Amino acid sequence: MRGVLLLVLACACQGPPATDAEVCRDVVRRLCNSRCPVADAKLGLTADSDCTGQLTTRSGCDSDDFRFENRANFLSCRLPLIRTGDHIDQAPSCDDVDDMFRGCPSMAKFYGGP
Amino acid sequence: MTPSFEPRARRPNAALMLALVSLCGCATMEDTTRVERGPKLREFERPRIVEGGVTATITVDPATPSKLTLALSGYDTCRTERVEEFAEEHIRERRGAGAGASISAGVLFTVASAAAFGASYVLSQEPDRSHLDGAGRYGPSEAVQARGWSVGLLCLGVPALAVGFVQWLRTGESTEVVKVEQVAGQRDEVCNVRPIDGPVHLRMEDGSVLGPLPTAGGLVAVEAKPLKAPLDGFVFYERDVALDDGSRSLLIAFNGCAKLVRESVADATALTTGALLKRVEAARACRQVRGDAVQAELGRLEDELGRRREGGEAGTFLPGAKQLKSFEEAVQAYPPRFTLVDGSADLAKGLDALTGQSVLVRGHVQAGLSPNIGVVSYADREVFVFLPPDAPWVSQDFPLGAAVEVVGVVSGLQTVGERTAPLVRAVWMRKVP
Repeated sequence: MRGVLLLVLACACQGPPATDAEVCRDVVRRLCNSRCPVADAKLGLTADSDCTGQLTTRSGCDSDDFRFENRANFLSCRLPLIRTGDHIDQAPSCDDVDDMFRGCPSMAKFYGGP
Repeated sequence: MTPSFEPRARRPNAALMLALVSLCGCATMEDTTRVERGPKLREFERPRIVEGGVTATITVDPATPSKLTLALSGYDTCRTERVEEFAEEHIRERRGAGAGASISAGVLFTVASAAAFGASYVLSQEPDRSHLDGAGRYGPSEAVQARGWSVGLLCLGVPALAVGFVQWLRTGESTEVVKVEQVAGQRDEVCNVRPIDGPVHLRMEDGSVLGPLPTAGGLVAVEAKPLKAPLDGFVFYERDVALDDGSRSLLIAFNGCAKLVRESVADATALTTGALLKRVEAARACRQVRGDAVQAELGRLEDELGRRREGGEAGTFLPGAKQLKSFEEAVQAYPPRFTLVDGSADLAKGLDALTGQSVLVRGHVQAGLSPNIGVVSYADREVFVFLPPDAPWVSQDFPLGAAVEVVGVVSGLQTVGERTAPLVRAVWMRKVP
């Protein structure tokens, strides 16, 4: 009975899952909002680069048909970016961005870093 | 890619809700019982037998005044209790103190739950796309949030309603009428008196205890002779034996006679005034048992007491003794009939032969019992020597162990304290060079 109650309450706090393309673009949005020097260096961006456009193009998630090879791993790597909040316009701190790249070096490659 | 981060995503506060739900089950009932005394139903008497005791009656046959007979009796206490019977109401009141508040809260939460559930169909079904959590899910829609609140409120409201209704249903009072008894009074009587046998101990006035003495047919005989102190009472199986007034009086008389027998007084003048008063008291008490037989002794003692009241402390001289000037004159005035000295043939004389006779005693000072009485030992014997206080020779010092010789008259057997010996009323005493 208590388990059912917890399930009901948990469901009340979550909505439907976002598509892989939306999740991928969410990461791009957060990285570009923060524009940390570490991220720029890892991703090969310059100050006047079109951050959002380059990253979505490089990763291929500009298409709504985009699919992750492993969604679960990507979500795990994304976790540092939502420490300060899961609102889509929330800019992560540079420490959290650095944490993400140190924990998941493949994220830089995924987004077309050098 | 290997996950190596823990999300800080916010979780629903389900624990708080569960705690609130659990608290609803902690309501308790107040249960009090009140007792009210009702009318008196009846009054009756109830006989009971409770523990009694031991009593005794003392008899002393005047023909054998030195023998006391104790007749022991055991008894029960027959108690009659006056009992009043009452009706008594035991009123049990049970009240749920929080029933009203619980029902109110239950109704409020349940109605709010229903309202939230109803509103969920009006609110938007569109998920909250402004949030994307760690699991890659959007935030819940307004409708889902409303249903979540509805479930939470329902979980609070329903238990509160249940608790409130249970308390409300159990609230009330029940009355039980019982009969109770109250002892309003009681009357005790001695009953079932019967002779009893068992070991009897004698408790003496000096605190010592003698015995046990066996009984036969509830009777025990006590001889005065072996008693070294006045008899104070009797103990039967570590309980004092109760004596009636007559028996108590007889016990005092018996003690008086025993004292007269136990403590010899050859010459009342040799007694201190305190000892004389005690002996007079003993003789007067003994008169209850021995009657006229003790009258002569009592008269002698009272005469001496009267003489002292008129003329002061003891100190009488033998006839003519006060005028004597020397030991030699004393020997001439009271020529010794017997000589009590080591090796003398007179040592074999009995007390009866010596009493009333003039004697010459040669020995050593052994002790001083009082200012007027000393002990002189000779051979393997001793005598008490009574010294007239005003005699001119008394001012001499007679230290312990000093060799002395005494001319005097034997009065008889005298008891001083714990010691008993023949008493010699000295006419003259001097140290032997």
